[in-house]
Amino acid sequence: MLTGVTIKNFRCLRDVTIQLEPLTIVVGPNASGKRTLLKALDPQTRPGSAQDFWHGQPGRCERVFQIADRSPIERAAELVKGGTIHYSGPLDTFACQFLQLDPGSLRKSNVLTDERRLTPDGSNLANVVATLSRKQQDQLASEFSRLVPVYGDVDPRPLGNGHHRLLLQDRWQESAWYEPSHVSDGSLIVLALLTLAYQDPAADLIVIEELERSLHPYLIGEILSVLRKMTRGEVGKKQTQVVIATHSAELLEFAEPEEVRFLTRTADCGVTVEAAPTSAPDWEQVVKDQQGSLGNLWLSGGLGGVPGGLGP
Amino acid sequence: MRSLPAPREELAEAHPGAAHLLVRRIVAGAARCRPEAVRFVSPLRTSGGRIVRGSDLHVGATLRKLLAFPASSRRPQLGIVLVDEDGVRSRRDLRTALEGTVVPAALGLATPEFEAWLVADHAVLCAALKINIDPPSTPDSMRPGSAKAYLAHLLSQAGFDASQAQTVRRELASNCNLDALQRIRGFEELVKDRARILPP
Repeated sequence: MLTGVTIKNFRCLRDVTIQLEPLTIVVGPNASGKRTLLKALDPQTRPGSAQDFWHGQPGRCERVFQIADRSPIERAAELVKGGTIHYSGPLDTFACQFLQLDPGSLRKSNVLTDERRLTPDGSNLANVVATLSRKQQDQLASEFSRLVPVYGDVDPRPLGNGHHRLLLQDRWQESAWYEPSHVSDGSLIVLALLTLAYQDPAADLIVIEELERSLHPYLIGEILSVLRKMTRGEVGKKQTQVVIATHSAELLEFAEPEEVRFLTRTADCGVTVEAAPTSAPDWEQVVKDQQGSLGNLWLSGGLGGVPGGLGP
Repeated sequence: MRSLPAPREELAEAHPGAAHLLVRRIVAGAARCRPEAVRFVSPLRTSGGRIVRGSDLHVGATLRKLLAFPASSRRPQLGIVLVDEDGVRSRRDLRTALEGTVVPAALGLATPEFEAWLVADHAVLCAALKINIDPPSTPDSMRPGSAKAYLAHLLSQAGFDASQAQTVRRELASNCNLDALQRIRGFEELVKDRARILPP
């Protein structure tokens, strides 16, 4: 498991260390560096131009990955005058999967190909589902039906010319199968997120941007529960660590305080990362005063992750 | 509308209003420090991340949220809640609402009308408005709302617009003789509370 990462001079991250849990939830205002942080968690990410370096200046961009029971791994890139970049450090450290699921992409038909892992936008969902065994497809459909009960089954069907797309069956009218264009954004996102547990080979780390997109608050809680099971290895091929970036206070109502990291953009040093002081003696009082709501606690700004604004 | 820094960030010198400046002088007097040494932080937000309004301070549960600073290293040493009584709010209610909050010291004060403090020092009032006016009756004897109306009338008479009025209010708070305010109910209680929390 990745227990922490230190990032220096990567885009807006001048010097940031983040400790990670099996499930970590990153919150912060727009332009606080969440996406950059998520990108930096993937060892395969390489600074490709001067813009990927702090203030575009020549210098050394470093990432040190702390992995449980292993020596730290360092990936570095040196930008020299003239724009040349020299890279160092191993690439094959762990498999990180970045996801920013896009409903439009999830609806796409696919040219039938053996694909076992979702692309970042989920545009190969039909292929990934089609590659599952019959038993896995039944399990996926059953779990999907539990969360979105208007559907009874999911089936990849051919379109001709080597293309196929997913159809979703009406639970109460079995002869009715819906084209992806007639299925809600949230339903497709739930289906894609449930598919993650069946990927083979499974990723070591899955990073998800805006998990809550189009999801009913109840489903956010259910999906978090599934992801937690993945982190424990209770579903999926192996234990998979998960990092989520979100703007949703509702999502935090389903989180444990220890799982949340609060990002704040600062004028002087780029970005700061804070965790909730859950071991402090008066932590319980703070939670009580915020009426037990982690979402309220975040939006109060008491832990960072909230921008300035116009006052009275 | 003024731009506020993120919660917990220090307020710039332009941010504090008249009430801040008066409180600063009182606290500095008790702590025997320069007024500038008393600094203010941008307040926490209410539910949904909304910036706090005066009426929010009339709800005990909201008050507790506003003082629930989680990290002790980023917690103000003193929280002062100053609200207009509006005929409904009692000092006892505020004290109960503030009991046991994580801020090391919290004072609650429901004053009949804050503007009564600003008009209490007649000499400073004339100097700030740059006009000669007759001394008012004892400010605390004014009916609720009358001090606010009285100050607004004077500001208008002296030709100040809304933004200039803010400057005048700050000037009054910065320069008024604190002894002249001692006779006003509310102010006297704040000074007593100050003595309890910050013994000289």
